[in-house]
Amino acid sequence: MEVSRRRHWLNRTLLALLGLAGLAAGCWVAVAGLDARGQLPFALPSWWPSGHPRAALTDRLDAAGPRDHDWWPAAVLGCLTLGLLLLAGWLLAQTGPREPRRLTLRRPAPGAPGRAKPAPHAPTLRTSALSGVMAAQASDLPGVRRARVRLSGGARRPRARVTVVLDTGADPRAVLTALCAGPLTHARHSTGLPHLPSGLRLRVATPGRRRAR
Amino acid sequence: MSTASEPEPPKSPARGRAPHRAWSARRGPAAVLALLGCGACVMLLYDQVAMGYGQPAAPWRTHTKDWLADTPGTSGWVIGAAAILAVLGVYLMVIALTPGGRRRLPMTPPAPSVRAVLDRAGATTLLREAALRTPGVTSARVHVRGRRRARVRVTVAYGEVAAVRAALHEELLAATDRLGLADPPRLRLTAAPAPVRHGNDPHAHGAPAGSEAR
Repeated sequence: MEVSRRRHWLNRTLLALLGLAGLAAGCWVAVAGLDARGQLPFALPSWWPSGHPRAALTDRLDAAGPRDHDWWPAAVLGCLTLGLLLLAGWLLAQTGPREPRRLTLRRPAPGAPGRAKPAPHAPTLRTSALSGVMAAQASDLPGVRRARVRLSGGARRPRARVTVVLDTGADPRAVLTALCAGPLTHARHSTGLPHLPSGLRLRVATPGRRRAR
Repeated sequence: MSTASEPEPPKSPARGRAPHRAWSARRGPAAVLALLGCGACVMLLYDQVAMGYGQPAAPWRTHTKDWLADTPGTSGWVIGAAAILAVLGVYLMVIALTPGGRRRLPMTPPAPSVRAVLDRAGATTLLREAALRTPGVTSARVHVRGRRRARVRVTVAYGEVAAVRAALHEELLAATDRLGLADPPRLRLTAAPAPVRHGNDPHAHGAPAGSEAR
């Protein structure tokens, strides 16, 4: 949950900033070019940078003369490496959340069903075992063609992501209710988790061509 | 002409208060941009290192440099590329600032910690199947637009159009209810009798005047 929320904000912010940068650069170059051609239908405001952006940039670069210093190649290398690392990190952040290998089981405390605490040497369960059972139970529900379950989040606070493909005659509301009452509740009970936040995605199998006219 | 009808409110009390719409994480555009950036960085880095070892700059680099130096800023190519860049920038900003996820219709959550969505394509399929179950309907086209509206166009092969349309309405209301959506789409039905086949015109689907039942 936390990871996905952070990724969400990271993506949105970076996309907005890149979009803004592209818009600004594109407008600058295009307007400067049209202005030089005399094809601009309006007068530029006084604060608009005069001259073509390329000239402005190269002039400034040449004036400052960073290329003449011997640290210039190293600086370019460093910037490129840093950029590559950051971009690779951004790319890797798009892969799905990692599945914990094992889940920590909790024993429900007597009298307080919602307050199960992990024991000092709490037993653990292989995550794939639980998700496999959940998927099998979900596929057995009426109207469900197949189901896939992935558990993400930490070992103590897992999150279930369930993708269900329904038959074309299925009743999504009934399936949703059955999923919650069945696999999700069973998973909660069998792991002793107070709640298992779940994201369910229901799809429908594409119908065959049996209704040809 | 055709009716815009509100389906029966489902039994859930959450009707009218749609659950918090999940914003798309925009993983696809982010991955594409990151991948492009990584590629550019790798190419530049490789070339920079090669130049550090005394190799000449790669041809693509000298070509680009020369082209940039030789092409005046008034060139149509430069202006066109800049315009495309600006449009891409606007697109990225729109992508960043809008919720997205329009193809996932939120369902009424049966439990507070559960969030469920139904694919829009799936909803379309189910509504179409429901329309085709109605006696007299031989072909149906369903178009779920946005997240609020569903347009259903059917061809009635036999029976009275108005009666078939009423039955279809019932069937679709039930089907919409069964979808379990938090914000059920409003239905717009159009029923047209099957075209009389004179000649050989498979596209004669045009509804004669007054045949769209109210």
